[in-house]
Amino acid sequence: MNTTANVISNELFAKWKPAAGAIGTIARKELLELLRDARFWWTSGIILVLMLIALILGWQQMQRVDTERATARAVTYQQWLDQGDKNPHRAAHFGQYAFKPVSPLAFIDPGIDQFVGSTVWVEAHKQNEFNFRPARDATSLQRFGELTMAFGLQNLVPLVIVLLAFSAFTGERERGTLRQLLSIGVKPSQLLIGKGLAIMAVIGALLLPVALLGFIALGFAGDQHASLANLVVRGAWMVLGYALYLTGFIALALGASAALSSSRQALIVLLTFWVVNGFVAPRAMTDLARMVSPTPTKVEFQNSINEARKATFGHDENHPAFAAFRDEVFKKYNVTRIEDLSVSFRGLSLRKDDENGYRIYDEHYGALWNTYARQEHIRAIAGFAFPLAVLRPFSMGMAGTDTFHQNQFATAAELYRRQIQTTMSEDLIQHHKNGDDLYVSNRDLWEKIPALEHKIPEANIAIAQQGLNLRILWVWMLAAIAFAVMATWRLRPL
Amino acid sequence: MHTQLYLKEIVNFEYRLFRADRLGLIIALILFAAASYAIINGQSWVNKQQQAIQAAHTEEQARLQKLKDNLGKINAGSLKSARASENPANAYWVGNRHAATYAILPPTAFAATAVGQSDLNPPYIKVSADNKESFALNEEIENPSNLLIGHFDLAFVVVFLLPLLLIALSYNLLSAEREQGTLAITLTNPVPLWVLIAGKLSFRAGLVFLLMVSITVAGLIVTGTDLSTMDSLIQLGWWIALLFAYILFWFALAIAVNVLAKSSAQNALILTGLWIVILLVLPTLINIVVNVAYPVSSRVAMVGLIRAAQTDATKESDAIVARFEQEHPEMTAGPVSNDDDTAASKKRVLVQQAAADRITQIMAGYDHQLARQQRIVDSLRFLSPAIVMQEALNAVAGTDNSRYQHLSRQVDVFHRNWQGFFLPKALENTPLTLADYEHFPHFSYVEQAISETTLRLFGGLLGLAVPIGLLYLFSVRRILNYPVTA
Repeated sequence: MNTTANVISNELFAKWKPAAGAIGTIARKELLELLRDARFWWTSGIILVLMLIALILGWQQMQRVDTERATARAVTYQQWLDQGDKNPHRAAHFGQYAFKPVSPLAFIDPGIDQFVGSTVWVEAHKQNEFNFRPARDATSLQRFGELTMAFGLQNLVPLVIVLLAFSAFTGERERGTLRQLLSIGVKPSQLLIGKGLAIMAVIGALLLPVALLGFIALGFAGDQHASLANLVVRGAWMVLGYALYLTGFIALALGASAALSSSRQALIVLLTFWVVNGFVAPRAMTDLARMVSPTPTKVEFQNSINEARKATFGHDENHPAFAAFRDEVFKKYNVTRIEDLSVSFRGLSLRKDDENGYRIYDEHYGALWNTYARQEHIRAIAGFAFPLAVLRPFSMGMAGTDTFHQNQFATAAELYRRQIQTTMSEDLIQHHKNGDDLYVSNRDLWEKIPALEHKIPEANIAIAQQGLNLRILWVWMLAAIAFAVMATWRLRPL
Repeated sequence: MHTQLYLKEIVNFEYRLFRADRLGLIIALILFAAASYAIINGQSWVNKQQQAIQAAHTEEQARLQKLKDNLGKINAGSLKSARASENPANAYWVGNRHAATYAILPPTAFAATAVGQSDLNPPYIKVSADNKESFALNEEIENPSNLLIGHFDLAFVVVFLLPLLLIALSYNLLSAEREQGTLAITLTNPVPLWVLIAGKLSFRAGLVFLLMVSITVAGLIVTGTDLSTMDSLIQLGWWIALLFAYILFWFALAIAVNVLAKSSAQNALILTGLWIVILLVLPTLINIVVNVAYPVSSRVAMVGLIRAAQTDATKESDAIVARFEQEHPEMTAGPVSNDDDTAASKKRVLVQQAAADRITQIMAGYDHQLARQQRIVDSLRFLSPAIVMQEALNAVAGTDNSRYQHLSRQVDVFHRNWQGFFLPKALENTPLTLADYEHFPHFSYVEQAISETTLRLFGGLLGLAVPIGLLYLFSVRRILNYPVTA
């Protein structure tokens, strides 16, 4: 008998001996068998190495991109401060560039980072879209995905589970040991729990170093984008989500092994499920979501905004709304000519036009982001059967690299833009004299606008967003366990 | 002579076995369902792109018509233009904003087979007389999660799902016969083992190949693709050749595993493992290694440099004052007159041109670095036949990066023509006439030279042929030691 196995069983499971009885014995035996299996060591070894590579390279990439963006942020703010003396509205036209910060958890799950623009021009009168998706500068190789920890956990570890568990019951049946076990009165449920515990222990041991490294790495992420508490809580939720997913997979694999009549069948069915879960269902659901709730094209989107803006007066003094506004101002300040106003009419009209614009942009961008949210919900429906459809958005949501977090930053950039507009308009309103063409402001005004600092939302906001996905994941896991339990009720010994 | 006879017999028996076995039917059904759905999906994507192109074209025509109408009214005296930026005769404003034209990249006939990069690269670029950076890199609107997950198109079915079906058909090519004991009996006939393998292989490969080709052709015709032009026939020919090479690769792999003389179950596991390595592990690993070892230079830094160039140009001459004055005439001294128009427009053109050289240099430097990184990735693609196949299918469908880069180069030339039409007029204060409006430069995409695409596609075929050759050599040597009895 293997000495190492003896030591392991004696030390680690000494507590189990008196208590769990049958289940404990089964679990220990399964564990020993797994630890003696060379194939297991090879596959898990390779996967562990791959995940460590993914962690290290992901960390490096994240740091590089973060540094680039931090530098760019400093440059654009300096350009804003150094723009010289000019009319405040010209300064508003000059604007700044806002660069999306990289979430400190992106090294675990980079999510949509490659497919979302990094830069947005914050300028007067317009809320722009983000430009420069990193994937556009890449080749079609990028579309295969990146080797990340999330990829390993979502696709490769379930594969290990399938390989470990597909012959759990069918193998015993084929070797003839199943009927011996059942004949001495072992309950199938005890077999199920024992085997399940052994596989969970093995997978847990495999992933433990990876998880520890991940949490340690979080400690090295600066607090520029998020507090350590925020990151740790998010990390903990991610661990929970992946634990639900992998436990459900173990239950599903054991259930399939119990329900089907041969190892070959079990392996084919489980691998088919793995392929459909990982590759077919996500794409099919995305196409379905696109059909039900289509994304508008840029031309459509711009057209509808332009149509809406026709009702605002902009810089057109012949526009009826401009005349209406002028009359309103006259009434408010009790004057009949622009020259008699105590404040700058230009400043007032700019502010009014901006506010009209804000309403339009809020409405249109809100509608666009609702379209995206609807597409996400449609995709999540598949999660009842194929859990990756809910696990992937959950993982991205907790890592801060999903569409919600992107939209949070877009909103922050837009609020920053409005802050600039309002400050510039206020300066005009207060200090510009009607009829003065040479009014300029200087660095003192530019310095009133602080640099844009965006922190990723707190963990509780992220978890509120992902509540539905997490619940569907729970339901799936419970259904998988129920399936496994029911499959063992009718366990055939022969 | 004997070989031919035996081959015929073997194929005959394989056909009978196929009819008796349910597995073949299931595989055929799965293939049919997946491929049909994929083609429908791909076609709806192409339709969406066509609609977007149509909407852009309509919008442009409406814009131009309005400009022409306004110009007619101004010429007749019934309308007076308030500001230079609204004046349809002002060459600067018309060229830079109002008449900006869409340079359109039309989807090819085969675009429904592979979405490729066409969801990232928009099918139109809005060209204006402004400097290139203001329009060249704009993005289409799409939910980033959709881009991350990808499309269920025919290329996905062929590259990812087809190998699984091929593995299911061929994992026990030899091992099943050996385990059943029939291999030894078959080989008591004077038929060489390789003929037996070739016969079994030809049947299965031929079946899958014919099935895929007929579903694809039928699907494309049903969804409205015009397959009668020379171009689309060439594309079809390449697609068929690539499909054949890919099927042959996976069968060659299966045979190589079979001749290792392991059990059927082990063969299945090994082949599935190889599928995972070739399709999942290798591409994702190469991707992240390349991103870390040869990172693309930062677009965000480029943005800062371009802005600095623009700022310097405006500081050097007063043109941003002019722009501002034109847009906010209430702030200028005196009413807007035609003279103010020209002075302002002239200054704007000059500032733009002053910044242009520096910006072109910055962008060219960036493009150069990008091209270098892409060349490295391109050469690394030969490590995995899946990457080679995906690239090749994208190239056939015309949805790869090289076609878009071809568009960009043509847009560069067109942009210079466009600027050459409008900017001199702005500098010389020549107002635009209605006759000018009929002679605006028009963009028309010219397809890549056949030789360029042929070279790329040939590279793809080679990237498949070399592994096939290596596997063949390996199998031919190992088969001499194959134990025909269990």
